Amino acid sequence: MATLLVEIGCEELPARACREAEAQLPMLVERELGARPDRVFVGPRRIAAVLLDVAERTPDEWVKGPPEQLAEKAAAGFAKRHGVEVEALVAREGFLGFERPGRPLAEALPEKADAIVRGFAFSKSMRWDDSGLRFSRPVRWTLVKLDGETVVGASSFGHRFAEGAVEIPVAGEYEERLRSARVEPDAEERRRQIVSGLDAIGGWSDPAGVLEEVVYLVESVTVLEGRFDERFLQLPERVVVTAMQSHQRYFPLGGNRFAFVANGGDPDTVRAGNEGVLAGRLDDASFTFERDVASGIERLAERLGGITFFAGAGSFADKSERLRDLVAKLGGGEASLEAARLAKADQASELVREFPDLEGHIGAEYARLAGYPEAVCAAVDEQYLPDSAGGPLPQTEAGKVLAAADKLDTLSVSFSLGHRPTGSRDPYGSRRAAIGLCRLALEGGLVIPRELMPEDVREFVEERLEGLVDVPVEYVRAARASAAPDLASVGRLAQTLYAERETASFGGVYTAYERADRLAGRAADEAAEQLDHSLLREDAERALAEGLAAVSVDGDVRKALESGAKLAPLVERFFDEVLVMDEDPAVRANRLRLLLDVRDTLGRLGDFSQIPR
Amino acid sequence: MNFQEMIRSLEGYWAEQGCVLMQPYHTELAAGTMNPATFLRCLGPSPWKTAYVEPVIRPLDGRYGENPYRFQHYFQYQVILKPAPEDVLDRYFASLEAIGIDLQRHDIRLVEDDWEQATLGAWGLGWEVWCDGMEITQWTYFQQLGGFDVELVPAEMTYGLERLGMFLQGKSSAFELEWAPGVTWGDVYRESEREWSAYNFELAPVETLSRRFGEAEEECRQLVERRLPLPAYDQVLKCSHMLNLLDARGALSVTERAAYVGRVRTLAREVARLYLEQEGDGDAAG
Repeated sequence: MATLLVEIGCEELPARACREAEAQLPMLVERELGARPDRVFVGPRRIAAVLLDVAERTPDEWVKGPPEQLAEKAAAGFAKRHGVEVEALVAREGFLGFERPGRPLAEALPEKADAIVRGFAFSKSMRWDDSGLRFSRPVRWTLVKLDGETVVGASSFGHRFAEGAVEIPVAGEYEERLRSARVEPDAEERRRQIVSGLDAIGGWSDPAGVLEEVVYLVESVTVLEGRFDERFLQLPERVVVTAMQSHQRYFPLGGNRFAFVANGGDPDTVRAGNEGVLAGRLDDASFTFERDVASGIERLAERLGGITFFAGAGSFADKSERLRDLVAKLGGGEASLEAARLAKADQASELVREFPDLEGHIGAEYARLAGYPEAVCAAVDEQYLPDSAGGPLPQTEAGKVLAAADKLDTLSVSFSLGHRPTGSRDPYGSRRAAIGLCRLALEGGLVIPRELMPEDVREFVEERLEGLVDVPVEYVRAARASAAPDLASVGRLAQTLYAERETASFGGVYTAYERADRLAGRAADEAAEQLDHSLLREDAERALAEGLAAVSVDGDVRKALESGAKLAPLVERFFDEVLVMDEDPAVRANRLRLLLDVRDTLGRLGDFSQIPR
Repeated sequence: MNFQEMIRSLEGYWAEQGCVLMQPYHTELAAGTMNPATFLRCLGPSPWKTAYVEPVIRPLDGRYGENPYRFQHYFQYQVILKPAPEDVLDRYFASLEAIGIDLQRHDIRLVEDDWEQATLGAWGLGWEVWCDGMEITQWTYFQQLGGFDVELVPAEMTYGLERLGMFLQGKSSAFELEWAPGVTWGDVYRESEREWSAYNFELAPVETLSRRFGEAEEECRQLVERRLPLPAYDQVLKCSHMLNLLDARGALSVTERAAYVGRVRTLAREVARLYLEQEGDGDAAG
């Protein structure tokens, strides 16, 4: 048995490609070498696998050819393709083939290593020469060592600037040789070193989660600490944090301090350089911030008339008007009305142009500086929440109302302009907005009247309820067809119907609805416009009409089900005693109307035909 | 090392590497990539090595000369090696040494940055090169230009000269960069920033610009029909600049802007197709 090293040397791989390589390498090695690697090393400049006990010969291999009965046609071609004599082919389980004897592993390794390199599938790949190879970034060397034997390549390479080529005398010494050439090949170990370096400084945070990327941005870990001028603390904190994290991959330490990870260089020089860069970015942000503040949020809001929301949907000033209207319809109070007026003011600010992810938050900071009540500022801050399927909801009442209004408006406008999402394309974030609306209703307890949504928007939004309310979709579909006045009550109705599905009253309503619908639903065209009591001839139909008049399905769902269930025996008697399809067309039309009224009254509790028995 | 010495050092280094030292192009470009010495020459099967300074014009980035980091006119140093040699990164790092950056003392990093220019139908994969956290070069292996796969993959290195100069001279404002002894970058360009910002943001005539866009678009089509890709390409550049001015004037909504970008991309594609056809015929102009 021997120890095998396969190393693929690359130009600097993106972090995502490193993680993809980490996930794929074990399977590729197993496919080519019949065993999973014992160690996997992935960093920006290398992808490597070490196998501790590999057989030094490849196993004998049965090479399967054409079926025996096709021997005449296909045997010669198969034999030629594999470089064996036709006479050497033998039959096994109905197929021709031959046993290829194993060979020394070293002999097979070059092609196996090549197959591993070609086997990776990166989400983004490129070509760089005419070899036809695609990879995340150019592959610049391959090193394969079987114990002390160099099978492919010559050497590995150490730290890009501090070290050059590195001799790996035997495969088993790969790690330590690289470490002495200032490369930590093990991603887990780099992560540990980074975290322990940050812990040693203390008080670090990573709200944007850049640690996972930084692990793959360095081969050699040096954690350093830097500072910036305290005057930049006047900037909104999230602006500072975004400049540090998104742009520079730094870790905020609170106040004017930050930590970062270097890959080498002289610590004082590198620290001074990084401090200078951050100071530049913050200086730039301050410049912009001060200009915005000098304008003030009122003047920014006044400029919204000149900024297009999106083509065909008017300006942001128009949007603000619509928001105020929607907020009022959602029952929002003074704070949310004021917040609606100011909500989009930061679209006119220069800082949002630089930090687009901080829209809303920047407006809120400007509102605070202008002395608006905290309820108004918080609502402006929270208007885009929830900004992901599982993200947090607004915490304040005014924030919830404004967030719902914003989503209602964006959905209504984009749908009216024909921008429905298609397949994976959702340029206006309609799905996120719809899920957000449902969550504001279900979890946030906000009453969102269904009548505020145009029909196509309502359909689209309520389809999202199916994934959010934890009952079988049929119950949500049934509830969507009900007269429930707002989104949350659709969800509650679905839950109640599901909870009550085994009760007698549910069964009664279900049966009455279903029988009425089955007969009259198809003949709805023939039904009378209105029920005419003078045409009710039989006792059974009069009893049903009286029973129907006494049914109340609004309000508490359980009581409504009980009330509606009283129709079940009356419907049964009706079908026993009355012939709907009377010869007199007027009588027939009246009876169909009666049944449709039964269905539609019970239908205010939902479309029971959606629910399978 | 002052600004002009830095440029001379880069020129010297890349000339030694066998690059043809070109001069800036004669019409407004938003990036050195748009110079035909890059965009067109990187298409087709002929090897090509070039290096040049390109003044880039980005109306939206002007700040009236008041912001030390933002300008509507600044300089890139553009290098193309087509095809990219195997040691292309080492050659690039040596260029940093040529302008006095000690690779041992500084922390040089290649951070993923995938480049795309929608107006040219162009994209590539590469990095931002960081020196102690500062982006000093945009580094790209082109994959497509004008919507066509490149035949020989070129490496493009675009140095941001002001940033690089600020780094080398230890200055926190581009205006303070020493351009030549006793003369700063600000002496040369501050007034120009103020005046051009006023033009770009306040005075550029919106209706005239959109008319000129249409005219250049039409002229481009006619020149493509006459099979003259090089003059046709200049009209693409003019369209692109008109678009950027309209953008700076705030005259375009997001969707309108996307429509304009699409129109420029269509032209760039037509020109690229024609250029490739002529390259294939062996009589490529320019």
